[in-house]
Amino acid sequence: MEMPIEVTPDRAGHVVLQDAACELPMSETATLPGVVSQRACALYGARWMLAAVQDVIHLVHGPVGCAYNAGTVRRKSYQVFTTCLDEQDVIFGGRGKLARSIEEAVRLRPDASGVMVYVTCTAALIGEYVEAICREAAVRLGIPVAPVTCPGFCGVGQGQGQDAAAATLLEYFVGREAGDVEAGTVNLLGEFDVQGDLGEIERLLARLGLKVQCAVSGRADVASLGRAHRAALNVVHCRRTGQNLADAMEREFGTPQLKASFFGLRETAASLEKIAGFFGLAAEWIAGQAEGARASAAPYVASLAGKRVALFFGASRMGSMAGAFRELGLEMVLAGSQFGCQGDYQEVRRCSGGGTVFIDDANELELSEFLHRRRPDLLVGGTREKYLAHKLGIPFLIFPQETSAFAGFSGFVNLARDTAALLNAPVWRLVQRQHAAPRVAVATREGTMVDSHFGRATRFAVFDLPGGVAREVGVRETGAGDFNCEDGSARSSLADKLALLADCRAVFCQAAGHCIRDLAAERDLAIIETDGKVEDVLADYIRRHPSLAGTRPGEGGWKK
Amino acid sequence: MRLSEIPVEGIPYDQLKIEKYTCTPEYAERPADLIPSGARAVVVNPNRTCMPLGAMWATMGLHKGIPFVQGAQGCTTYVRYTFSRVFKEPATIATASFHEDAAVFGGRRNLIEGIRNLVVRYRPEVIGICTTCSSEIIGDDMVSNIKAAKAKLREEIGREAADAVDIVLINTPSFAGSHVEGYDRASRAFVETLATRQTGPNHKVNIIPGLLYPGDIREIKHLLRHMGVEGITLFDISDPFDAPLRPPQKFPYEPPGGTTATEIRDMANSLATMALQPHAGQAGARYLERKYGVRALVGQTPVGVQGTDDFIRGLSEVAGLPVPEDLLDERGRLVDSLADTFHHTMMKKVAVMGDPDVVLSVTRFVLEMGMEPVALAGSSVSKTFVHSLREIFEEGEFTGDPLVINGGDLFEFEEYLKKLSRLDLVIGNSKAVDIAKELQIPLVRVGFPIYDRFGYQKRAIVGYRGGEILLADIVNSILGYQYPDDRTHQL
Repeated sequence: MEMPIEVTPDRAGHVVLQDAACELPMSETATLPGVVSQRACALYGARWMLAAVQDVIHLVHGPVGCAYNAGTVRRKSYQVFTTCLDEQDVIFGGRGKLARSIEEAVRLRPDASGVMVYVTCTAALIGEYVEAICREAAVRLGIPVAPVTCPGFCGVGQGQGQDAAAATLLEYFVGREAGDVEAGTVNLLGEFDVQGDLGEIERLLARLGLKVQCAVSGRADVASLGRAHRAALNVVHCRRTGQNLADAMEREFGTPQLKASFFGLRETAASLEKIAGFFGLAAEWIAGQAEGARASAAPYVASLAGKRVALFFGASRMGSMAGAFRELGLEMVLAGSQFGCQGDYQEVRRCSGGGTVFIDDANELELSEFLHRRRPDLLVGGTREKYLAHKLGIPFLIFPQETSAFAGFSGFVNLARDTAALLNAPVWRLVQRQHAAPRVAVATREGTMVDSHFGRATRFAVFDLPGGVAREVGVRETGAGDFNCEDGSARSSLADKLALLADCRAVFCQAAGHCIRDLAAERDLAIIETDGKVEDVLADYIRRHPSLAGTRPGEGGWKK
Repeated sequence: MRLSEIPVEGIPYDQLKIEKYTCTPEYAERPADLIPSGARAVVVNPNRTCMPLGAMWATMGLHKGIPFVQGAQGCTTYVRYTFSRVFKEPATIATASFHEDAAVFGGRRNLIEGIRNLVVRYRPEVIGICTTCSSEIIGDDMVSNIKAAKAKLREEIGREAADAVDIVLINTPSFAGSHVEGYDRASRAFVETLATRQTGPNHKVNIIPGLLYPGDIREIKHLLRHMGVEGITLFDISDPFDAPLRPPQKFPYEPPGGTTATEIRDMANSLATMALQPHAGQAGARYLERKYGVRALVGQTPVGVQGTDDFIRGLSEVAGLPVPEDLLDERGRLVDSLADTFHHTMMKKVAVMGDPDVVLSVTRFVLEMGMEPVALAGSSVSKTFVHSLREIFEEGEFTGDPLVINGGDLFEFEEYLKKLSRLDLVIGNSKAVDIAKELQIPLVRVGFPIYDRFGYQKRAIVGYRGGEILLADIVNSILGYQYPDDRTHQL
């Protein structure tokens, strides 16, 4: 299998075709300037981690746009406070404004148990000593005031912001409350409670007799973070956002950790068994639940057989979802991420087959070239990829998902149902019908006889064949004259000709060379060598394609 | 009927699962001195975003135009995300990808290599370079950097191909102004950079629509067509941001339509420039007037009867053409609708929020409906907002004393509304959803951004026909709210 996209020298190593050598793509390096990057900034990453922490004031120390944008996380709106830095502050410093803003915010929300101050590019560049201001405010106000150091230019993408957020949680919130380890409690690290995912996981853990102490940060507040170290186990759900926290808590508090995934039946069952094993609990019911879900998902899975899926995620979700999609019976043709690490790619490699393409930090052009050339049956990604896929005629499944929980056993059934529904959506048949419009071209000089060699043809008569009746729609002229197939310039002139006939499904000519056949095959254009009268040739074609009779657009249901 | 029994969108309120602000389990009285945004340092839930968004919006309205953002990745990604959510379209915007090294050494290398990388990949015809906080604070010398970038391009792809790409610099530091001003600055930057010569009259009228949706721009074109006027629409997002799904697509995907660079050059030759949003686009119109004597007509967005009348009158005068019968019929239909529904709209108390030009033009329209504005919140600070509102009140013989917020935040707006004894309707963008839900009153969506409902970007509120759509929205919201049981009420 060959590489389906052009890899420019500056991207070499980031785009890898899975083969025997099993090389992983290079990752976690800076994005090339000037590309349409799918990555975001450190502030985005920090907000991703912290937005859901309920009872703290979220204060963006920066200009208005950062606060406006940071108000929305995973398509959900959150209240956000900001210092709204302006020109004066940039020139004279925003120190006083920040101190005043913290105080006012606490007066406006006296019930808040803490403040998080997000440091943006602007605040960092004007050299604000935010830590000191926060420290003073904390002493005065008697609640934690925590800086989150996430200026947008830090690191290679949003990952740096997630690390900064984790550092803030550890330094200011986790383990503040005194107390011993509580038996039968766990933390879920890197779980953001999208569409009820957390509830699903919680139900399964409850069945084991376990209680979720704190989910970072799908359901976290200052109190639950404060006693997070009293959980008996840290379950790392998302490696990218949870691992740092788990490692630090293991170091500091000795909390043991387990990597788990609740996406896919196999992974969910294995994770639950691992957790049950850790606590020495009985877990016979797990296999039964998995089987029940598998049976419920079976009709959907059956309709997905042989379909090809392209995955493009932020980071670690790529690895955990790859297994779930494999259980759906989908062949993974692309595994890409914005800022995944080597561990994430290793995980996804276990689920990939020969021919899977790995793209690290895929930019918009690479994604669209991949979709254009490989035409997968489904692209999985985020909002920024969704509408491009649709424009290219490719069904799309959005993450974080919009419809229902995908975690746990019943979540897998939801995933199967949604995936099957998206792939079989009527809209894609409607697109296809138009795509396969019964339009053909004839290489003819005068319009009466098929009398030209494709390469030498200068005029093509174009016909629509709706309902099996030929209707001429116009004549297209090419600027190209004679040429030789061996000549290097020929290919580009042929490509022009093919572009001229891009909307046709077949072309009739006296003869066509081998190079044109290669190019035409790539574009799904049939080359039919023939001669004779144009009307006879068309009539013959219509006779041999009875399906044309039903292609009259908009008149399918009308009977004379 | 108690408030809590009134259905919201068909569901009785006490059964609604509204996710309240996590900070306010119950409404708590706030310190009165901190309610007006002018009295605070802190801003709560800002009502506006930053300049680069406006400049990116403008560039997206150009044929083969790609914005290039001289800043960190988030400045681009957040805006691409916003555009995709609002328009349901891909948004190709390149980023200079500032990292720590750029913050220390400046963004010169990022710009030079970035322009090169962008051009060889996409072959755009126009690049709009939007600066950000970072690049402005670092103090990148953008003019010299762009020169160097052009030199590098010539080296790599040849003089002819390199010179075919127009590169336009738009200074948009986010710590000043708002998205509205970013658009305004872009309108000037593009005409100043591209329309450098007057070559002879073209008998066309320039239209600078401002931050209007594709549906609105289509409606403006409809009015022009019926008037028999040929127009040049600057930043015409109507096709790029409302593109058909019609495979096969070219590779790379190239949105259809958009204003061409040639059209912008030709703007120096037009009869006049009509800027439909005084705060977004006036700068371009004024520049053309000063430099080439192309008359600048700056008026309120044509919403409602009088708003559209003004626009049509201006158009008719500039082109020296009469108003055709079919437009008078369109006007008549809107007036007829106003008459038919007046008893539902009269004396209703309404709050309007959004960009200043949206608030101004919609307020004028709600006065035509006999509604009573009680709070008007313009997103970004404006020197003329308060004065323009006063003019609108005078024209509409409105003597009330509504709260006017000129560039404040949504917190101030919300707190004020919560204390009103009665409010029937909020008109504004999706940022007002939480407020309307908390107040348990309907929200009629207009302006930017609308991301929580489908279709608003595709239809018009401007023109007489757009007025009918907005009127229907308002009337039906009132009916749904006041007479929730459809079985007992007949219009």
